[in-house]
Amino acid sequence: MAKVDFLIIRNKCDRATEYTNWIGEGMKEYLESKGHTVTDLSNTDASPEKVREWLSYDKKKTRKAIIALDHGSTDVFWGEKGGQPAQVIDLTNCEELTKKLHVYTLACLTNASGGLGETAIKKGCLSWLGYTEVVYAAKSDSFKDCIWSYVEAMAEGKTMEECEQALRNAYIARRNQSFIYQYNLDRLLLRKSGNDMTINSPNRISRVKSLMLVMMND
Amino acid sequence: MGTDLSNRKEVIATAKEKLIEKLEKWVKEHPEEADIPHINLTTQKEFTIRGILNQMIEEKRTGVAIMDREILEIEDLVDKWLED
Repeated sequence: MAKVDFLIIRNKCDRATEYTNWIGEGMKEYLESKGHTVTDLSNTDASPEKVREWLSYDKKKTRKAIIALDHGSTDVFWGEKGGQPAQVIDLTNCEELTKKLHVYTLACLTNASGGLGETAIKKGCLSWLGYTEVVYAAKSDSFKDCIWSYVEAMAEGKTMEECEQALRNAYIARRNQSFIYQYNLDRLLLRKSGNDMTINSPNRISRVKSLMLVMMND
Repeated sequence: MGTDLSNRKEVIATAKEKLIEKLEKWVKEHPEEADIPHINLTTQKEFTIRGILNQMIEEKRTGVAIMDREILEIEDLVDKWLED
């Protein structure tokens, strides 16, 4: 398997994940159009085995960021197996699977105090954007664009603080469309291990490889 | 005691009527947004804002109180949202 910059995880095993899966439609193509490489684990591909295969720190097949659109709970980010929700990232494997990666979630609760996001950051994850409580989604292009705003900012190489601000601005701009925008905004939290990081640095590409890529691009 | 309960019911009914008024105004001004499907990602409760309004109108018409806790929570969130 080739190495990629982004891994998208978006199962589709129940009504809620039909919404979150739909939000990820077209995201791979968008990121590729911006020059990034992407693997999209959609529907039954969002299995614990495939997620582990793509996120294992030892293999470093995913080098920059995870986009996780799915069910979440305080200690677990969920994928699916056999048509049922299945744990894919949890407190026991978050170091191995998220170390030196940026994580962006649309999922409930993963950034609750003492939960998965906080634990992952303590164990080497670079940044984790998530929600501290249960959240809502809508089946509208406007909601989809709102959630994409963070991804677009990441793809453009903006800092995580700028990505967060882009998302906050997108929520604020839609506050008159439904209560869910202010509601989700009030529960949004970016946890990070440092300031001014982008998906381009730091990440799982080694320092030497990063320098080589910069020189090649110059 | 009976009077207290009666007063409380009256306060709730008045608050609901005010919310219905505000929501009717919002739905009239935002007909497309009112029909957008929403979902709570944990409970998977699906709803539209117009649907919430219609349930409240039906509650007022029949006098049969809405007992669905999730709908009541959404009503509270909508009320807070329209106040802001």
